[in-house]
Amino acid sequence: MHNRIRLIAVPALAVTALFLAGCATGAAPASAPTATVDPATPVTVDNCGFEVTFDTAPERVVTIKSSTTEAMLALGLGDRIVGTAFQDGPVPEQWEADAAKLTSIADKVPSEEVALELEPDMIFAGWESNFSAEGVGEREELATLGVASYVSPAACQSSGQPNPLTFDDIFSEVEELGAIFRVDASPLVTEQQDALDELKPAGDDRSALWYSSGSDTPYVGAGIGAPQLVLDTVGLTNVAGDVDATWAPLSWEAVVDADPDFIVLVDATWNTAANKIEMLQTNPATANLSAVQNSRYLVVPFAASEAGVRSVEAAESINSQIEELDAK
Amino acid sequence: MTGLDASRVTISVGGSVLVDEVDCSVPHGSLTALVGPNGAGKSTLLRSLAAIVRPDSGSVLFEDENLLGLSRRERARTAAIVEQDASTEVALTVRAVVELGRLPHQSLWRDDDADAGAIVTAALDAVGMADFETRNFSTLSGGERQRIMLARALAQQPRLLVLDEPTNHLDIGAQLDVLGLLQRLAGQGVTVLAALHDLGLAATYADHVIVLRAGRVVAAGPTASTLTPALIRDVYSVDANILTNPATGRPIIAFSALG
Amino acid sequence: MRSSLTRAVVLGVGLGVALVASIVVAVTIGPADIQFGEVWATIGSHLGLGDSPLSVLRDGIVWELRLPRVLTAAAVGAGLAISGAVMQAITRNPLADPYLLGLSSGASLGAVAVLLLGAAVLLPFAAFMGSLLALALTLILASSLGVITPTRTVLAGLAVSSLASAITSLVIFWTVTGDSYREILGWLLGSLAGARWQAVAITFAAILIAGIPIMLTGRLLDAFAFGDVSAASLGVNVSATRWGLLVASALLTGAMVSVSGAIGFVGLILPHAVRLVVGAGHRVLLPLAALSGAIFLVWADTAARTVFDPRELPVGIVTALIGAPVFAFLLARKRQLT
Repeated sequence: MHNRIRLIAVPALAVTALFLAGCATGAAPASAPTATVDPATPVTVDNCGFEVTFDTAPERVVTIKSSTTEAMLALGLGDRIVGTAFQDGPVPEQWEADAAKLTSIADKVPSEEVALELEPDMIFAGWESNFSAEGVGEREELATLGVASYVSPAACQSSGQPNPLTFDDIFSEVEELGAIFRVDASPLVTEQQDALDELKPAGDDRSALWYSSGSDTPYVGAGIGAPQLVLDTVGLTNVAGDVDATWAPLSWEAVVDADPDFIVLVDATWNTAANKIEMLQTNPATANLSAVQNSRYLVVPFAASEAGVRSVEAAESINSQIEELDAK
Repeated sequence: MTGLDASRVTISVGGSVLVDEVDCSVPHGSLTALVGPNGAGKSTLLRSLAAIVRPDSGSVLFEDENLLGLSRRERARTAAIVEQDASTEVALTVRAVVELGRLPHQSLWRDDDADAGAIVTAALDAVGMADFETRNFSTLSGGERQRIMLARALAQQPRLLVLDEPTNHLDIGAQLDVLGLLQRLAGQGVTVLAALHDLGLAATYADHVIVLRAGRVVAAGPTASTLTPALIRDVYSVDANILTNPATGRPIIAFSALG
Repeated sequence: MRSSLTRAVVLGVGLGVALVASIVVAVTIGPADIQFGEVWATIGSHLGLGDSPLSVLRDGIVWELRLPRVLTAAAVGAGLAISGAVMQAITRNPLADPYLLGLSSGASLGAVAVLLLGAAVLLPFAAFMGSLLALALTLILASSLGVITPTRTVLAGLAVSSLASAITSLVIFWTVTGDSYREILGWLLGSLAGARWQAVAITFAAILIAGIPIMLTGRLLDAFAFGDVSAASLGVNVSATRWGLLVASALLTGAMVSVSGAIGFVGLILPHAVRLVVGAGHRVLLPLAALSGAIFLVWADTAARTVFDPRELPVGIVTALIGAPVFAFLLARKRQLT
């Protein structure tokens, strides 16, 4: 079955690609910023150790996970998204209108066939594991079909993982995205960098636990990923900061021993912040944590908790929540 | 005292009749041999006589009692069976295997009587395997295992002892030892029934004999009068000459091909 | 021989002491740095002996996290070892483990179902019901093929296990999000991270209600060594004994799995290891295997929660890491196994 699809898909995609290439002009899409790079120069990137070449700016993108969808919306590239999948929650207000026009093709990782049906020229994934035979397809195979595969660089696992993650990494990711799509990413980057510069850390070196999920064993933000970056930015010390991972399973004992001043709760539709609060309160060992007793919780939506264009916003939100709690 | 009495015992398995309306008696306190060609149904009959298997029809009485009507443990204290080719994957010592024979005499709450140790030792002595006590059962040869299973049956202290080919893997010395032991037991009042494939041994040691062919009793009675050359020719298709051992006075059979 | 019974008693007492010592020491080990004396003083304060020298939080670490977990580890280790030995005896298969008759797959299915429905509080109950359901299916399937024999039971158990595992995998695949997969994996590998006082109650009750009666049937288990006919000739009620042992074993295993998931290798390896030392007589084997299993799991779990401090491993990984090479070693010495 799969082979038959390939037989049809390859010539179909080839024709489509040629057609699109033939149609490409120097004019940029009406809603996007003016292109500053010659659209015909190929852009080659090393993405998680896999080389990908974009001969022209992709026009038909399938995004997997919210981080990638939102990255494109932030750059005004919403009209190039032909389908989204495995979204983590509603988009922030400023992109709601654009997001409403998007079609979801799968609740989880789409199968290769479902994705290819849309005849994309690029699949933009939020997790490297999305590109697998059980997922949306292996990267080499997609390449032979003329589909560029691209992973959000902060999420690289096999190689090229930022260690530790910095905002420079995030911004150069945005800039790389701009280069790929032949759009100017600098306004966005500048905007975020300014916001970052204006942020006055309210953390005061107090300690925090970044509680993502898990009941028997908490799964927490650890030392080298987005959680660590955000906590550093707001001036909080991560109780799991010594662990050399992006996220890691910790023991409750270690958490109780550290007695963090704040607990960051990742709010996901499948595992809400309220749910986590209840778990913390009913677990006899954690019920006595000072952060639980005093409800010193900081909430961050799941989509904003992964490295991407919402990381600055996450830092800002957490920072102001700290200020609010301190004011009480 | 009456011994073992079987009346119209029939056993079928999966549509074939293995034991067909068998009537036979094993006199009390005697050594009786069950003989017959391979596939005659001896093993199946033995199991029903030892009350391990319930016959499809017919009755089996020992000392005028239906063994199958007794409780399991009482039955096991009355009758014991020694089957062919006992094997196990479990790493038991020889002594542990023989000790299993005391199971019917024990209960969960009460431990065995004080003599248990002595009974087990005596059983091992009787079969000449006292030196093998601590050996792993699975490391024994076929003949040694057979003797241990006999010891286990002895440890049960049964009044009815049923054996299926107890001399199969034994060398001649051991064979004579076992049969001598069975004779002594019979003399002590135990009713002994043994399936034997060696007619010669049957003739020499058994007081009585039951001849089985194709699930039916062909002949039964005291050995001398039942194991006649005519019967042997009929059942086994060989010629037999019955002689008397000058030293023991017991019959010996000299076989020759049909002439 | 008297001396082998004496040896067994000595070993039993020794292991008992070792178990108590293990519990006493394991409770004082953990990522949080609490002194030995403080640990036991704070435990004492809960038993009415004086006041706790620790803050409420640190007392919570000892009393709510460590102590119930260590006690549960001991009970689960004992229960799995007993159950494994019983399975090996009933099926006359040295490779049998407590999970043979679909028990762990059934429990996993029950557990995964409630984990995904977000009703984690019902987990022990659902897992327990899952294992009993799987056992019932196994026995029904085995008896539908005719007279229940050990081989048929094992094969039926394999069929039910495969079915339950397949359904579990399907459910996971269909509904899982990135986060809950981790939790489910922890459960499938076997973990004591969630052991609170409720788990202690469940597992200790199981040992009392099912484990101890099983240990009293040691002699009967020996009778099965030569097969059903042989056991019957020794006066054993073969089918009642087998059913009784199976049900008791299922209750025991089901309770343990409901609390900790399917921790592997304990039920398989410990009986063999103990046999190597004291032989296969079950009157001695069962209690000693229980004690050894308890000690083993207490230390395996201590390793699981401290070796990668502050991270935690599911204890099933530790038992597999230790158990697999030990199993290979035992296989290599197979002559001594039989």
